[in-house]
Amino acid sequence: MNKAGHRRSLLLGLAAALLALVAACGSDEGKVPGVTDSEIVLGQHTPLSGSYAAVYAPIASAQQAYFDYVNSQGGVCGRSIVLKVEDDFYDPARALDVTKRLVEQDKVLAIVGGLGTAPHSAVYEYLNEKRVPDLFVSSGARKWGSDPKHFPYTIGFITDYTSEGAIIGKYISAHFPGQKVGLLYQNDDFGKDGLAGLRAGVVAEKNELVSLQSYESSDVDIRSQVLNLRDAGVEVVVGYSLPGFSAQLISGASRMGWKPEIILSYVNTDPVMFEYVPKEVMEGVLATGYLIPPDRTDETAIAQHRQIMGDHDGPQPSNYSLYGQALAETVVKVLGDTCGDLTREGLLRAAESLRGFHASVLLQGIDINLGPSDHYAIQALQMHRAAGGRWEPFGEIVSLDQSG
Amino acid sequence: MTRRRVIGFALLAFFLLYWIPFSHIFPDWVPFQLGSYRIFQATTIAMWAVVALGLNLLTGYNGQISLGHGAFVAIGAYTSAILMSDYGWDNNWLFCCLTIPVGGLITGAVGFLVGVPALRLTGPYLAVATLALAMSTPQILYKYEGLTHGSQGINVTLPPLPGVVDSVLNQTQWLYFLALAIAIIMAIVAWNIVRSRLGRAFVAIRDSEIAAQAMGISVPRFKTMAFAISAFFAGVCGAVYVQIIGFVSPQSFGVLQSINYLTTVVVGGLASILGSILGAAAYVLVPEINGLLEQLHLPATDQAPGVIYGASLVLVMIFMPYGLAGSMHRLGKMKIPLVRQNLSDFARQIGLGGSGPRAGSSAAAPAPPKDAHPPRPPDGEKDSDSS
Amino acid sequence: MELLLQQVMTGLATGSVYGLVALAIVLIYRSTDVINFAQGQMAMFTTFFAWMLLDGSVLGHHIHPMQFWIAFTLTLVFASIMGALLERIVIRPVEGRPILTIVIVTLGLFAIFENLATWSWGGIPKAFPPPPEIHVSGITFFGDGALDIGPTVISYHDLTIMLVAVGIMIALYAFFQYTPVGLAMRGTAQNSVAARLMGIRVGNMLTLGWALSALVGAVGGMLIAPLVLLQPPMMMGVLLYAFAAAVLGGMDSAPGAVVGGLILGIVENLVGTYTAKEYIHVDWFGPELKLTAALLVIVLVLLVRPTGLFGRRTLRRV
Repeated sequence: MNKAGHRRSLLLGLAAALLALVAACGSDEGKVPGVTDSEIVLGQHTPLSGSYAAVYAPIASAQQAYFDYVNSQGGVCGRSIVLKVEDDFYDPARALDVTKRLVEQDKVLAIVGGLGTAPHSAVYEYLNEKRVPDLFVSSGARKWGSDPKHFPYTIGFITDYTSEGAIIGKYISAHFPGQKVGLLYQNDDFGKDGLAGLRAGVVAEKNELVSLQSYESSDVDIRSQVLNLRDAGVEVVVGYSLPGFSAQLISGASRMGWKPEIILSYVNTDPVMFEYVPKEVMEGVLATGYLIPPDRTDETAIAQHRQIMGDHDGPQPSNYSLYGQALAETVVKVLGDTCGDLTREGLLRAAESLRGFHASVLLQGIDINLGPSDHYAIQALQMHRAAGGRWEPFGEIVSLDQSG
Repeated sequence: MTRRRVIGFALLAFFLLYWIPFSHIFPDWVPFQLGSYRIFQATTIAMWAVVALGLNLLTGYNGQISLGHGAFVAIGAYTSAILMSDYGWDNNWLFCCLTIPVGGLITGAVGFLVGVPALRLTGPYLAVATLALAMSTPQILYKYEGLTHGSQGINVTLPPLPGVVDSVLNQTQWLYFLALAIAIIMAIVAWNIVRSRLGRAFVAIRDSEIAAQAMGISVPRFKTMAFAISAFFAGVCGAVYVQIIGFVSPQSFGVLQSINYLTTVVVGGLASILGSILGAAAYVLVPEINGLLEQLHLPATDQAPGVIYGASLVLVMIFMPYGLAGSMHRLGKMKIPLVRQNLSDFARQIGLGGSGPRAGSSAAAPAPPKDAHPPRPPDGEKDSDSS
Repeated sequence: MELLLQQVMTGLATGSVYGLVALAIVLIYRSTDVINFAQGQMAMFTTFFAWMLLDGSVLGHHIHPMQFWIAFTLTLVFASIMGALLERIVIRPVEGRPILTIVIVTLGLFAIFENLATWSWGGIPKAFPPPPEIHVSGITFFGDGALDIGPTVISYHDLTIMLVAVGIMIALYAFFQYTPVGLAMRGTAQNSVAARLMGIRVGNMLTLGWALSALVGAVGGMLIAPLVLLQPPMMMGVLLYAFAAAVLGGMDSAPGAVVGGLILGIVENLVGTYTAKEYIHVDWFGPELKLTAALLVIVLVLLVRPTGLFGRRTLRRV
């Protein structure tokens, strides 16, 4: 009796699993995946819940808001853009799962703005295998654009951390020769790529890298690291750190009465930094950046951005919302360029033909150029200085673009 | 074999061997089809079931809490990934499949080493010590980047399918059958362990270490063996993970994932083979609820999946104390087998929902109260020696 | 030498943060025998509540921003009520179940709180104002200044956190050891059947335990937030460290929690400093493994003293 009952419960269990497995699978039968007479369907994987979501969720909602705005103006190619965003919990296995769902069940035209180095690393090979355009990956890893021959469908978006580190390194050797350099970096791909770039960019004869201090994103405070940097006699500190920790670096140094030059990665050129650190203390801190500061309401692009975000349910204007809009604008541009050939191949070709595209929220002088062998979108940065409670871009645009 | 059993088996075989992988080819044979995405989902369920089985053996049957199984999965996964990408084991499928037992054995050895100091710890101390293991894993993986490729992670490329297989299956289906085969093998292994002397020793130790010792069971030996076996399962899961997901990074197996494995096991049902499988299925499928919500046009904010996940954990624990499997058993009017008898007896003694005495020692399953006699089978139930 | 002393000082400061949260964990464990994984998120949630009052924006409606200590007190009240309600509504139904069941429930709460906070207040980190400076008979608490102790410097804010941690520790110790209510709570945790027979209202004790724990957590959250910025995942790292500290010191010992935290903070800092390439010339160890090293220390201590430094040895009778 026992064993038969067991079979029964096993069966019941599997029946339940079966029922759950067969959730409604809706898929529209367009001839081209993701394209109907009225809609273009795109997909994205990004963390929507959990620790990472807190920071990155505004990017997805900014994109939704911008697409909403474009749709209200008639859409693109006479169709509305639909962006399906799926939660991947910042987990590579889950990212692969939802991406497969987007491609195979929702049959999206392309994946845009896949977020996160680790999650996307599990996904991009699959997308290339299935010949799905993998446009504008939201991650600063080099690999998205470094091998267009083997991964022709993947195109990166932001300047990668290694290149940025090299730019910072060169800047240091040019402007602070002979001074000792220290690095505060997050112990993951973000920080380590930055470290590699910095090492490559600094001219060995001019500057010595005397102290490398790492921290975990789960650390409470980094005063210990700041102490070590000071103790090593560092005169220029590079911060490959998230805003919270950069703030601790700056405040901590100030409290110790230590005044090094501080150069931060572009994730820090956000006005919110001035909420974390009083502007007197921030004065003179340098950082790289590529977006117009969101508090520049006198600039048309920013005013328009605020309008769009406000009208279409977007997030509070910040660097993240600007980033989201920049990405969305580029997507719309590329879609618009391929109206005559609205297929996956057509979309990829249009993306690779993008030349001199200036998304409205990018700094003046920073354009997006792509090509069959250039799969990096934004490859330029400008130095910013904290002055009077705002980030002021200065100096020339440093570009690493190889294609014209 | 009774007729019922034969039919049950046949249905199960049909479902697993035909419906899931092939239904889209011969759509007339089944009422509705499952696309290749569903095959992938079934594959990941099979994969997670393996680690759930292992963790269940350790925590459900043996009573040792582990919040650090992510570390073990990582060891198995990285072993497989390193062998495949750096030592050329990705040249043919035989070697790829070999990484699975190799990964498992190496992880099992590490598990044994972990089990030794774990002997001294119980309850929250063991939980936090294993949590410390999970917290350290990403740091260690980042540090030894010569071996692990550090923050870049390892992408593996699978070899082309062997000619014989290639004509019949595509890669998705092949991986499905691979994962399914491993899951079935490991489930049978777990089943046999549970029914053997080993399994009974585990349960005896869980319920009362002192009594077990008094009966002549070598507690240290079996407890470390439980860790080793459980780690072996996790390592196998990790190696299979590499075949299916194709990418590992230090961030793939962290604290959150470790906690997820434990949640999966408890929600599925402690001390239950079926429970491990159901837990894995729930883990993969529950996030779909948000999609359902959207279809029903209920307010689904971005954070809804997280809140739903949390709420479902709470609700399941309140209303289904024995997890999904426990409820299944009750639905099937199943007699609760011996190994779980203590759980249910104890629950009945103290009354579900009332506060009861809780022993300080065993934290995974309640030990009988210090002043109680060993539980007797309640009326109407016979002793059974199967599980 | 100066670096060493300063690192130790900083370690004490960071360690008292861990200790503060660890106290809340120990409090719940001692009174209800539960490991509460949601502790950090509860503290974070109550800190957001405080932020709303201080900022003057309660979920879209504007109110006059409050003075710090008024908001502080109101938050403590809110936290206690929240803790009590949680116990009644969520924990009570699973009372008496296997410990793992309750642990999973707290994990569920963890997920709920975090996502609820993200939904209500968004994910971008916010600056949380530190408590204003107080001068009491010549001693300064909080504020921006710093105190020089020999060659080391410690900010008043950090100093105050240390004092608060020690203060709460003493209060908890005295509470559990000497007051009737504290004794009743301990009895409830150890054997609630017997406690009931002695006339102790078990349910109330459990509710009180959760309320107090939420209160201590709220204090910790509001003191820590100025350091780490207020955001939903803010307490994640602290929580893990706090668990480690609580276990190191002994899960049922309030002094142990604080001592454990201090040791953890110091060890981490020293490993982080003195394993850099300048000091030791090995490749296989370095500051990136400092968390691992600190945790290893804890595990080693546990091997020698399986119930933590000051934990009570549980005798198991057959």
